[in-house]
Amino acid sequence: MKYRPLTTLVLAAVLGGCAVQVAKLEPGRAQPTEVSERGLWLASRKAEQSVAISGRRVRNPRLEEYVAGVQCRVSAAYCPEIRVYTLQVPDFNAAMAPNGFEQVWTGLLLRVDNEAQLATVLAHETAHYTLRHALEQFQTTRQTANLLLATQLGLLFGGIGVISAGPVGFSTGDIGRLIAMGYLAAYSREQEAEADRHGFELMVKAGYAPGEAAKVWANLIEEQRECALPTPPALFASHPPSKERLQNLRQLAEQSSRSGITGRSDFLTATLPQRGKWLRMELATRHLCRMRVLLGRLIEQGENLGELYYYRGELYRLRGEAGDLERAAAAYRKALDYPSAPVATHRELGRVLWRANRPIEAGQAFRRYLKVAESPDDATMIKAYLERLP
Amino acid sequence: MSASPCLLVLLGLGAAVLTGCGNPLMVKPGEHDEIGNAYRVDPQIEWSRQQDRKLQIWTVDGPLLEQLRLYAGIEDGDTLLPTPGRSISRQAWEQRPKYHKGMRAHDVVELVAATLAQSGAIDVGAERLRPAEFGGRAGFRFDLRFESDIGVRYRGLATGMITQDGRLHLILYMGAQPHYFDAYEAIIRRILSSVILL
Repeated sequence: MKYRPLTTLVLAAVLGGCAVQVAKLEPGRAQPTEVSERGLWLASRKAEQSVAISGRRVRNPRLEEYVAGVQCRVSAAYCPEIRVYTLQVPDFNAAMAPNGFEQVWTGLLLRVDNEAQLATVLAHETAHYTLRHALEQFQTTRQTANLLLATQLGLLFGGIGVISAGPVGFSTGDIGRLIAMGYLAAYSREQEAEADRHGFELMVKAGYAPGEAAKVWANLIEEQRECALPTPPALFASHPPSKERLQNLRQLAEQSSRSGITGRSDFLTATLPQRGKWLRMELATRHLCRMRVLLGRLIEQGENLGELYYYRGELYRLRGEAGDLERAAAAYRKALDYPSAPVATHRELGRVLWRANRPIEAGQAFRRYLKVAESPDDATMIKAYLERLP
Repeated sequence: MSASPCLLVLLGLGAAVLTGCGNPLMVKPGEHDEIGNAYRVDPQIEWSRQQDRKLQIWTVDGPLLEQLRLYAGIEDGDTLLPTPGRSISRQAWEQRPKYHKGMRAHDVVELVAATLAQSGAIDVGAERLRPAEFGGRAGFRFDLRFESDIGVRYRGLATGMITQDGRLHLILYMGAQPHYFDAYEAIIRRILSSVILL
């Protein structure tokens, strides 16, 4: 995704103009009130229609209900007008359109530790929605007489439109643009600060632990710092993190007299059954450094360790740096200490041992795979491998 | 592997392929068509063809509905997608799944699945990897299932082999369901069986 040059252009346009302020949205009154707002709504509705039928939509009633429930809890009176769609996209992002259509990506669900952290992000988006930041930003841009430029760039979600998704063989335009929109919304510093404050109030009022708010950003900043990402996680494009914002959220938590829940248990119940699939998607992006940081944090937390060590093995196997075959084999072996290790762990162990020129152990691992997996659909291929091994 | 912008469009937004990229070549039945000086196949029917150095893409109804990708001589460091155009960063290119010398059948399955996933395919499932002859030599075959981002389901068939010197030949067919995959499946199976190594 290349959004920076265009981002710079529009930011220049936006910063060159005067900020416009619009009235806060009242619950149950979500209707476009003027021509420019109608345009934003129309575009949002179109995007929502695409998402509703998208193959990326997570069609798991339990998970959908759970995420919508958390959204409802933080948005309170606004709940009936917000519609949440969870999308299978391996990046950290959530975005809410001016008409109350919200997308939450699975990469976010992998990177928050508990319900309170998820609520932090959803409350932040709710704040942008109720404070009508998209319209505010749109009007500010228009006031700079750069409406044409902004329109050409596809400014929809109150931010910067960039439609450049690279060669996407099975991404057919609408959803590609929609996903891009997740990368679009670039609010002003003031709007972000306001959404941080208001979002914090919403999540605390909903009964979540105030100290969790800053942790979301701290975790992401760590991932970005460790991996020196030239393109930051998607949410960073729209909500640039900074030490100042992190500090502000920490201060708000320290000043808060309220306590609250982290909601970790409910979060795990809803997300763990899907986590292996999301990790597989992350792996396919080949952002292996980010995957390493993520797995390190998940392993520290300790749930489903067999699955996590298996993916750590996959990570090393694919990375292929010096010593990675041994690291992969060690991770697979560790995974097999736990009942949650996928059956394929035996096969992958066999593959790395074979590649590491340890044919006897490789053969043993393949034979164990055939025994444990009970007629896997690649059995004939594994048997063909075994014919070439001692 | 280098590719023209046309090929990027072909791989990306298939509907534009046959209109905006100049005249595609035609492949005719009965003419054994040569794929990258590595092997030939009998096309069985008439196809539209776009060609790159190591890749040909054949289609009848348009690549978003069905497409046959024929790769020949994929070498260490090659990807199964064309060289990036201006809209992709170097980092994104580096993150593309690549073929490496020493890969075996399971690695190729993984390479194909990851390439499709990076191309926008969702829920990519590779199944029934099994030994199969490719032009009379030891090779492999597997099946594919995935969904596009607008919810269209696809099925696929793939066959390939790794040469003595570690290069990959691969033929990959993908068709939308319910109609397109089924409509061409028998033809595709005959094409896969018609491989003659050069």
